[in-house]
Amino acid sequence: MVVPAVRLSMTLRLPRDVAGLHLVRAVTDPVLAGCGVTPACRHDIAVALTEACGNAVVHAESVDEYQMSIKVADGLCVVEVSDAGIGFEWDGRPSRPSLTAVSGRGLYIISQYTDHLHVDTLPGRRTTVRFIKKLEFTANTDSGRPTDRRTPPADTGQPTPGVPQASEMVAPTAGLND
Amino acid sequence: MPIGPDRPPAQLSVTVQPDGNLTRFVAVGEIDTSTAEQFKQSLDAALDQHPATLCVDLAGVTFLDSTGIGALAHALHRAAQDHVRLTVAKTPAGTSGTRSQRPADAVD
Repeated sequence: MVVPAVRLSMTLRLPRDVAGLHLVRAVTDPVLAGCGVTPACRHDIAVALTEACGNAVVHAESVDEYQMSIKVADGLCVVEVSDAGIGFEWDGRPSRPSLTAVSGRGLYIISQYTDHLHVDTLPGRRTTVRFIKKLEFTANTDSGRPTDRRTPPADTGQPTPGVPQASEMVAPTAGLND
Repeated sequence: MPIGPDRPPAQLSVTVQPDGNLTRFVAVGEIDTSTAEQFKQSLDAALDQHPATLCVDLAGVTFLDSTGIGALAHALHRAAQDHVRLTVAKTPAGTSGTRSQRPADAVD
């Protein structure tokens, strides 16, 4: 499969309330659609994003906001959801919840819907949930032509066909590759 | 669309249609942390009527996260206690792909 030469990075700073969850999906899904990502793949990312952001909203007591970063490059989508909340004890892997558990599914679902999950948390201080999803692109995406490829860090400023521009894109932010 | 404090975060509407021993519970919209409590309370209210069977129709649900699954699990526990048969008739529209059915499978 030809991987479209799409590169973008976007950061949202969100209030720690439930209204932001809908906003996260409303903002990210059109961007990924514009990149030519398939609906099924976008759905998986929306689920994982909602779980990660929902955890921040529910559990990051003592802070008023949290941050979500999404980066698309080289056929991968890398997402980080960070908060400076109370953190939690983490043993390195999500446990499979019982079939009828009423809670505790979030991280397990992220691990099942994505290709990589990493949780960095310090009890009492902060949490960062990072996941990576291999992107699947629709067959008719036309942004995979070699002439469209932009090599970082030099950015020609030329728009890539089918990719959201300007208002939906924010300059790449530090932190994703830390 | 204006985004402000008064704007509903995600829309969920529920209709409950009693028909003899069968009550159909039809949910339409999105279920995440912002609407899961409404979903759970609506399920509780439907169970309070003690139907023989409560059929939960999720065909119109375009998004379902772990909190929605938790609400279904809660309803499943209550239904078992109250001797109500609870069924999920249709999976959400957004989870029709085989890969994407895993969260919903967790309450089969």
